[in-house]
Amino acid sequence: MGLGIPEVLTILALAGLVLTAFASALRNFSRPDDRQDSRPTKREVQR
Amino acid sequence: MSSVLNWSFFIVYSIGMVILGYVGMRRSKTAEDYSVAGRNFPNRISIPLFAASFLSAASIIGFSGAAFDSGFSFLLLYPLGFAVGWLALQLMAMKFRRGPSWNTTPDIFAERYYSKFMRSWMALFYIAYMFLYVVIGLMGVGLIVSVFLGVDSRLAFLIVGVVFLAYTSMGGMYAVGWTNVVQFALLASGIALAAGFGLYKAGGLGNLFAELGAISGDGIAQGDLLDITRGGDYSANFLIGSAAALAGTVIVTTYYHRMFFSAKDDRRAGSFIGFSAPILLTLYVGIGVIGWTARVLLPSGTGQEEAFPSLIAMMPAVMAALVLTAVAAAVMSSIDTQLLSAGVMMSHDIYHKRLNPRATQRQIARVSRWSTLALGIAAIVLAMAEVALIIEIYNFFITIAATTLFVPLMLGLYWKRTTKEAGIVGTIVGCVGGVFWHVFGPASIHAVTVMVPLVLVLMVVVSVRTAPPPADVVARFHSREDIPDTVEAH
Repeated sequence: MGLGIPEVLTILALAGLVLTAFASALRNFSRPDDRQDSRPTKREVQR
Repeated sequence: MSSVLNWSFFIVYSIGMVILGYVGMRRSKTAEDYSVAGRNFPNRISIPLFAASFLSAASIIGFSGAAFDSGFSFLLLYPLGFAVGWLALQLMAMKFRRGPSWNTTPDIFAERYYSKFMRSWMALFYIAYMFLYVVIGLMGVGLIVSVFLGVDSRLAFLIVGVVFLAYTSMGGMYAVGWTNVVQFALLASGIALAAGFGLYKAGGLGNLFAELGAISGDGIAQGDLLDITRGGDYSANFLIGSAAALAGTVIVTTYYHRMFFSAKDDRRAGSFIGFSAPILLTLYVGIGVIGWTARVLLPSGTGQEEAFPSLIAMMPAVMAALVLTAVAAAVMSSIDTQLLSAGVMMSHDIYHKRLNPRATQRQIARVSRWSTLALGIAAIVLAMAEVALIIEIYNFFITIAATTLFVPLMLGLYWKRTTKEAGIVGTIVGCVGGVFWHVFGPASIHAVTVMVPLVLVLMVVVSVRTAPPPADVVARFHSREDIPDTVEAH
């Protein structure tokens, strides 16, 4: 289709960025709930 | 084009949205319900909410036009910059979860820069920025809806304005979240349908690229549309600058921050952006395909912003009605979030934090609703008064937002030593310098490539020459444990 090296690199960069973001999301989401929410609860805030 | 069919689609859609707004109003008891949906959103709302907010009038009409005009380099001009922004936001997610009572981005600026001035200045900047986005969005949707419903564009601004204003001002963040789920489904199907239709008409992907490569004339040589620099029209410097500007703009966008505040817990807040990224990239490629097929299918001399509407005019009636409803949905899903941001900052940062610190939850919620309504009405009036080329205004604002907000936000979140004085100087110089460069500077060098390093150096110099930030601020923003209760005392 006549795509040169810069065009292929652009496509690879796009895929790489998006997959890295996805992997980071997956890691955060599958983290076990042993660590509590980093924010205090509403009751703690009011105190 | 069947106008009865179009009206039916639009009316069903509008009634659905207003009902969701009403349900949202019943659900919103406190100011926090209205601004951050009671900090309760699961990913099945946050993901479509983020994706639908991301795709706006500029995305669909403007970017398919940009793909039409620039060919393959569209990918380097827009999606690449966005992808950098998504990754950065995803990696920064937990930084936005450190304030238990944060409602708005000015909360972060006020606490990190321990300055009431920063709260007001950032709130006013963001309110103006969001308000103008709403006006631009309304203009974009008006152009499409006026064709869609066969009415004058001013009447279209009014019709669209009334619908989105009704559900947004009634239901706040709950309504915005729920409506965006529906809007996301609509806009994703619309983009898929339009791209599929274009590809079918163009004779498949292979044929599309062959024909795109063969186009010449209007300052384009054969093969330029498949070249990432558009035959040398875009310098590497310009491409990097605009990608950086887009990434910077994504990071500082206040309504994405409110999605972090609205998420149910850290797991959700830390994942909805990354999960949305592949979905959004797919949709942007679809938008590219829409523009590229339009270039091949439409006669030469067709205007850039006519590309998508002209392609729709070629579709069968039912498909055209669905795609047009999808465009209306895409636009409303962005301007509702933007308008709500402005309304919430008006009530939270200006009214509650500066004018009436003793205001009750009920008062704040009421001010939120009324300021959202008032700003919305003002936006409709402005949209009705003037029409300008959407993508140009959009480019101007993403540039100023990036030069003003990016360095102060990043330094504040990641460098302990950043001081109040540096924040004030950085935001003011970034804003004034960005406007100045955009208007008077050479077009070949992007304002962001000049202003970001300049503001960075300036803020570092000012920080080391002024007194370090108080210990509680450093603890709140930069320690791993023991987040202090509040630093509001400053």
